[in-house]
Amino acid sequence: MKAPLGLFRKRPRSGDAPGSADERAGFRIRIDPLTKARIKRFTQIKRGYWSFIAISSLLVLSLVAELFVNSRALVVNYEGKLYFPTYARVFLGQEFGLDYKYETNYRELKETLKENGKGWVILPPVPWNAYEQDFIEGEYPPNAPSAERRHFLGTDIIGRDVLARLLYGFRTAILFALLYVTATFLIGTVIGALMGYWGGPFDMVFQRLIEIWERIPFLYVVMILGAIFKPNFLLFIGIFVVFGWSGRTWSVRAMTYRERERDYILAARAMGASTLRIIGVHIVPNVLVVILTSLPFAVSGAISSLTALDYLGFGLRAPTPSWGELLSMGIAQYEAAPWILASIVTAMTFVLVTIAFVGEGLRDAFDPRKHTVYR
Amino acid sequence: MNEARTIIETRGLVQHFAQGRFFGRSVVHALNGVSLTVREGETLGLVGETGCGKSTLARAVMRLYNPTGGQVFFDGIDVTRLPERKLKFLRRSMQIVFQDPADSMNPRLPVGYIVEEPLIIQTRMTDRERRERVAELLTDVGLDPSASMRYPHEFSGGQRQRIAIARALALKPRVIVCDEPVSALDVSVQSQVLNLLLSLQKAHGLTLLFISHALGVVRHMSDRVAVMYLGTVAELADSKAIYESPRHPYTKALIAAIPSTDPTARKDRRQYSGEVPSPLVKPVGCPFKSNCPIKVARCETEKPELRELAPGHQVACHLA
Repeated sequence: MKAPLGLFRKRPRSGDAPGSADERAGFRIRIDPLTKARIKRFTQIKRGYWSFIAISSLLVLSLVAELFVNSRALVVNYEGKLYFPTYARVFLGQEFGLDYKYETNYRELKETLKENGKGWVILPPVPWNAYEQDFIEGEYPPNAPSAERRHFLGTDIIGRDVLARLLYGFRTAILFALLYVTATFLIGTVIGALMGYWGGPFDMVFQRLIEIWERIPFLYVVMILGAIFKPNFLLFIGIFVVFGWSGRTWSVRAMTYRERERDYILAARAMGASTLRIIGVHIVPNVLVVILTSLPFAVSGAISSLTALDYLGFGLRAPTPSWGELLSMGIAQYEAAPWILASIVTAMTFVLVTIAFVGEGLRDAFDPRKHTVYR
Repeated sequence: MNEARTIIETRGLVQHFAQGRFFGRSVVHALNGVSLTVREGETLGLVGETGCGKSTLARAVMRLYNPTGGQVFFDGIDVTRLPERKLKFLRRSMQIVFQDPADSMNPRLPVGYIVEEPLIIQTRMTDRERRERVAELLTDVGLDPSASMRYPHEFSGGQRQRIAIARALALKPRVIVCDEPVSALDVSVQSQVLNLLLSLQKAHGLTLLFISHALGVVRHMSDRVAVMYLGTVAELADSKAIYESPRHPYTKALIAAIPSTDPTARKDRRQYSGEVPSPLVKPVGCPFKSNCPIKVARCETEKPELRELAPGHQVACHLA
């Protein structure tokens, strides 16, 4: 009798775990069949599914970008000892028998070791990081793409590798977007659900507050604040979240209004469930659809607005690799260095379209009515 | 039966709902002073037509609504104005079974969790104890304990209502309010669920507040019956008395409308025509005045109170 019952828990538990009943409730709820069916339907929507795989592998790749695009070597063998500089401390030139006390230039080290035979170096496929400038004698940057110098997409106007800027810029943008979207969705869902569940004066006050809040021209405020505070990455997310959460409340509020009139909410109240439990266990899982389907579109929106701000020069501080900066540089130099504009436009189009496909696939998979296609 | 103690009492219970926000604000008069008592161990049937306030009464008694006026006593304690956090004890002893079992269960939770949830909220039982209790409860209502792994939509209406009953029983309540528990079910399944309720009542000494618009069902279930009309109690008496010697003109019309199984028996059918007055209008006088065949001038202005005409037989009519 125990065994089959145990199956509706996510994992078996021994004895009584500490913590309130409410905290423990989360562990028992496994993925319900409705959600399973939706996930299955999503995997059957090929375009969305493959886009999802593409964008998530790109995300994972960008998180370990140091292994592919980096000025530090992957492996150094010096006098029989192995070094892995990518994720290790900074190795000074002295330590590899060079005559300087700052960080080793591994591209030079590779040449030196080849000549003196004291070891070898394995460099990443693109041995440049996003900040260093490559000055070629007799030439002025921007330099055209060259496989020989390992600038596969050329360099920008001050000699930095475009591919490195692109990849690290993507990492900045997507992490920014994900953090921003997670934070706004959390805040928006909680406040929206409370507005819908409590209704009355709370709802009324927050509705008016949000209406006023949303009239504030967001980008201008970001520019002004950006000019005052010189924001770093986290502060920047903070500013975005402060102005971004309100838009997420409406749909959750409306859905909660619908759900709270249903008998199962009354039943939960009749058994004495707390507001926290009713919202967390009963309402949110049932309104999650609207949240989830709008998520990818919010991510691409966030990437676009960050790029727009960077493009205008009000975004993240200068040497940070950013798409907006590349875009403005590309447009300014499109005759002298068409590879910059070509790279950034291709990358942006690919990422934004892919995310839109994921969103479309999710929406189709989650909407039982299916979306009508007008031709 | 008469010496049994009162477990639920309502005194002049009033429940209004506001409709609309700022403009054209109107009030729905769902309950206009309902006074009745439920005795421990009995089944009080509550009948009335759609919109007469049966479900509102049930929910107001359960304190799922905050009554506009009047009082609700549970076991002698006034629970009318208790804040939600102090209501937890009431929740333990009073549970509710809703009309539509499909709507009264969260579709995203497995049945085991649905039945277990009251235990999680109200008790300090360990995981294992709760699991065993869930299996026990499911067996009690005639389901296999393996049902706990499945989801509500995998069950038929009757089975779902059994699950709802198991959930209501989980905390060993003293009272179960049944808000039309069988009207969403097939006739063939209705009697099974009704008999389950009766046997559970016998086994656990439950008090039932049984709401229905089906007169036959109420007769089958109830010891006493309250007839409601437009947010008031028109007549309250023993089941036998209501069905055999109704005193209120509305009750008489209702009883006369029960189809007879004997085609040769001809009844004195009291036709009552016209609409039920809108609950949006504040009632004046007798609520039944517009349809009453025997009304007099007094009925237009004076609201009849419940009067005890015979021992245990209360009627709200000036002329009865």
